[in-house]
Amino acid sequence: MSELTQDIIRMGNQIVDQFPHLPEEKKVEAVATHIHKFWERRMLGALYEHIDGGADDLDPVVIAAAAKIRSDD
Amino acid sequence: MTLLVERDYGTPGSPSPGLVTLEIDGQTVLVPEGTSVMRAAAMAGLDVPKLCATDSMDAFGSCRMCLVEIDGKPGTPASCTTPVAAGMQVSTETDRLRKLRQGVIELYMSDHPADCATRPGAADCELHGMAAKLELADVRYGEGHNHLDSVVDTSNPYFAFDPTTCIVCSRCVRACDDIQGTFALTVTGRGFESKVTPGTNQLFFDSDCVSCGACVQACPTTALQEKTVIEMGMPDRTVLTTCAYCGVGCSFKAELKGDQVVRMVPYKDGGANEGHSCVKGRFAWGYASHPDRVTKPMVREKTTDPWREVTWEEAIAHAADGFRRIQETYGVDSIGGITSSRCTDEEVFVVQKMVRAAFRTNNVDTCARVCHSPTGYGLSTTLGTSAGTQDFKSVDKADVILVIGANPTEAHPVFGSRMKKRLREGAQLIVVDPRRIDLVRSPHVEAAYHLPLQPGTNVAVINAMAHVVVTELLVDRQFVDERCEDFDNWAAFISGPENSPEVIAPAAGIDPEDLRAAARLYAAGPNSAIYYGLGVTEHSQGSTMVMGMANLAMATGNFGREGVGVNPLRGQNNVQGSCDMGSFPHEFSGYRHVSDDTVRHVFEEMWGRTLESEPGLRIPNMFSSAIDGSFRGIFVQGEDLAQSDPNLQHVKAALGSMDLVVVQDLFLNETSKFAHVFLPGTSFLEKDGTFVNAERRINRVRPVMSPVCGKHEWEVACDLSRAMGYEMSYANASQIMDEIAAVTPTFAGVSFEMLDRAGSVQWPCNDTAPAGTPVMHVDEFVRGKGRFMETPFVPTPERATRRFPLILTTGRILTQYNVGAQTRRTDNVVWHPEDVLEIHASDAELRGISTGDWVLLESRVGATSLRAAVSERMTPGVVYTTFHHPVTGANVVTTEFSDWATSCPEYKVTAVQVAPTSLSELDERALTGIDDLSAVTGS
Repeated sequence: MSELTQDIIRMGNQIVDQFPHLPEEKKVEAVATHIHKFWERRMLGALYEHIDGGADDLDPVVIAAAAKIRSDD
Repeated sequence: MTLLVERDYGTPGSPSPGLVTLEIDGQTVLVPEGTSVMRAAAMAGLDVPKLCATDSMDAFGSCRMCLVEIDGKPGTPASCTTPVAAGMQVSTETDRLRKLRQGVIELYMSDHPADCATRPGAADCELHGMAAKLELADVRYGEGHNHLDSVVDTSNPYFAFDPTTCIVCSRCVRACDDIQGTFALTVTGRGFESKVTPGTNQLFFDSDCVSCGACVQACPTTALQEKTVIEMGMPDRTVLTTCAYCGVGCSFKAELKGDQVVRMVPYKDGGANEGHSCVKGRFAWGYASHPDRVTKPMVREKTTDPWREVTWEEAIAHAADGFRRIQETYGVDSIGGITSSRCTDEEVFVVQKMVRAAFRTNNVDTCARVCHSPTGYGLSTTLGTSAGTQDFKSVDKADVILVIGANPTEAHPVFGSRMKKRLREGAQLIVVDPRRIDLVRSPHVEAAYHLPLQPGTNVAVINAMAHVVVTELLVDRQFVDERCEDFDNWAAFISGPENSPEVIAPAAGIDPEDLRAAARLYAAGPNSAIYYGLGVTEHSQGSTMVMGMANLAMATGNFGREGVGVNPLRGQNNVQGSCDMGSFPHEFSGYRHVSDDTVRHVFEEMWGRTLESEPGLRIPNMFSSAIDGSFRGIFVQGEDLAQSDPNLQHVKAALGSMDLVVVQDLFLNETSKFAHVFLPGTSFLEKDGTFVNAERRINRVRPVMSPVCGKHEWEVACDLSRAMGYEMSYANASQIMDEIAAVTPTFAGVSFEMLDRAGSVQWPCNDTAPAGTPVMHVDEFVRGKGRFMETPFVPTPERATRRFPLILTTGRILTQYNVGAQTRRTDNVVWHPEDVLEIHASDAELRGISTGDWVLLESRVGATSLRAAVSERMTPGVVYTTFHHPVTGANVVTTEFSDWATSCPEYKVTAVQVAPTSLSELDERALTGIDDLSAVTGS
């Protein structure tokens, strides 16, 4: 697994952890907003690629957020 | 400018709004109530003779030189201790006064070395000046009992104390007490035996003296004198400039003899420091002319090759060709740059412009990534702008001071002294810190509460304080209702039992009753101010913690006036400025996102280039991409990544993976070991530009000499941009500031001309606030309503384990500065020659460790060795060290964990084990951990 993929797994899951107080839908929104605002395109690419490859180490909220970013783009 | 001698009004000004009219030597004078007669006279241009009085300290009334006559009053009162009164008629020059003064000065001169007037610093001697002014021709007293055989104390590396010229006026003692707050000096003995004494009859070096220089500055004779003056003689010209160490940003008079700096003297009119200094800014500037300075550009093909000196043209061409080749092969986003908080706004602005416009990528980041990036995120989210809310002066009005994760007396000493002064005046202090820092208990200062929390539990603690405020109905409802939004949701969240002091106490390691009492004290104020440092930001929840502090301050109405606010104590001289200048990969100057079309078009029009609308890589992600192979070239402006960044094995693997590393710096450093091009930089004594300090104060940095390498750093960035195909040129740094002002609304009113006129200004400075903004969010928050953010506590995944049972936290000490590149090249090393590991006695005893023993400090990512210092300042289970020396490499052990929002490294929490070791054993293990890159790259 690439270093950047390890980064985005750790970062993505950590972002989700910050919103335990939010309902699922808002959590997805918050995570998607954050990633879209701060992540460079190759990080997004690594995220999409990892998700497309299975991504059992990613929080489902990150996967849903990634799907939202993809569809919005 | 010739030598600038600031007028000394004798006593401090009075803040009273009321005015009093009196007559002095026939002149009608209008002054504030409470002004001394001495100051009133000085304000009228009449200098009353004085020796023990100076306007940086309250009057003392001991020298009897400033006597005056006042109509209707008996005797000759001291003008320094006599306040003005309406209708008072004062005479400062009469025959009677002249005779009295001559008598006094004659006595002083009778016990003063005859050769003093011919010594190198004689021009500093007010005693001689006064004797001349009073036309003292002769001393009538023959040789008798005197102090002329006293021994000179040269123990301090920067100044000497010659008791033979001391007149025991107590100015030095009072400066140490009242200005610095260290209380290292006393006058011992009585009558003729009276003498100034450091500590308990110690040498200066052995005493509690912190070498701030306040005593030297206050001394009216040459008794306390800079060694550089003794060696070089008096300076003959002054250049006003700004210190390049911490984020206080002190203004200094650089005093020169020809082109040689003789001394740096704090500037009384400096907005940040008002005439005070610390050992670094005052004395530790010699690195600028250290023989280690690299003054010629150098290149090499491989990092194993020796460096080859080349011309600027060759070096620039080498770098540009390399960057272009990489981009042609790997794409435009395969390179990037890092700006430095040590550099001026103008230098930083030009480098980020070079990356965005010439490199055509947003892969630009700044060393603020690893210190205060959470401040930007947290304060921007809650308040609307990425900066502290107050000026330093504001602390003078604080009733309760909450210091969290900061150690002002060590890391921001000039502000620390100001804070201590306010505490001595009666303000209450709450310290939240795992260590018992000096502020908790020092001379005449004692914290009402010290909450020695476990590292990593900041958010739990701030939430618990807010929980107390909300559940005990201590909220300022009027402020919240009028000024804030989202309060109800937040109040419901924070009132939850999981946020109560009793629930968080086991994890935080704090007595819940102490926490409740501290929260009540903060809420009671009425003016409560938060000051924080990297102990807040360098955590996995650094940004959350910043928002938590803003929540607490909003809930208690502590914004928008003097004495309150949330105030980051920035680490480096220009952290604020480098962030303001658009150094982050997602935003332009003024904190505006690159995806904002309107904003981006402003820059595109100004720069004549289409700009990228998506954020670039942050530093840690640059490193990972480098190891992966997609990021292959970097321009590093003045940051020693390979010493200061966390998880150094990873950093070094990344740098070692790149095809081109270009370093611009003063010295060869750890990062330059991985560099292919070295571009010599300029010290602050050569720079022309501005720094922005922690209170948003934009200060001029003026060159005292030409760049020793032949080019300003901004010229080098322009050269590299041109070589990369993008035309960028300026006639001078002032033009760069003009461009900054044109594209940055918060800087719209700023220019060099304006700064030269005003001295300094705090942004926002624009049409709405032409004189700047000392206190922000006065009537409304920048974002309109202050926004309460829910801040659930999420423990860091970095936890103590059986294998790594201790938590390491890192910090700075007074005499050294960050990675030590500057201070290690000064005499400051006499105070701190090496990093040591502070460890609590119980943890030390358990491991058989005594002070001075070499220990192995090991985390899951690396190991290093250093000496132990058993310290009761530590909480059991927590160890502490500094990172000033590359030989220690403390960041070998810090990990990849970082703030969730900004990727600011979690320097403050690393699970470690500490064990006794021998040097030879450790060297072997540490070298394996530090330098074996294959372990990281897998190659």
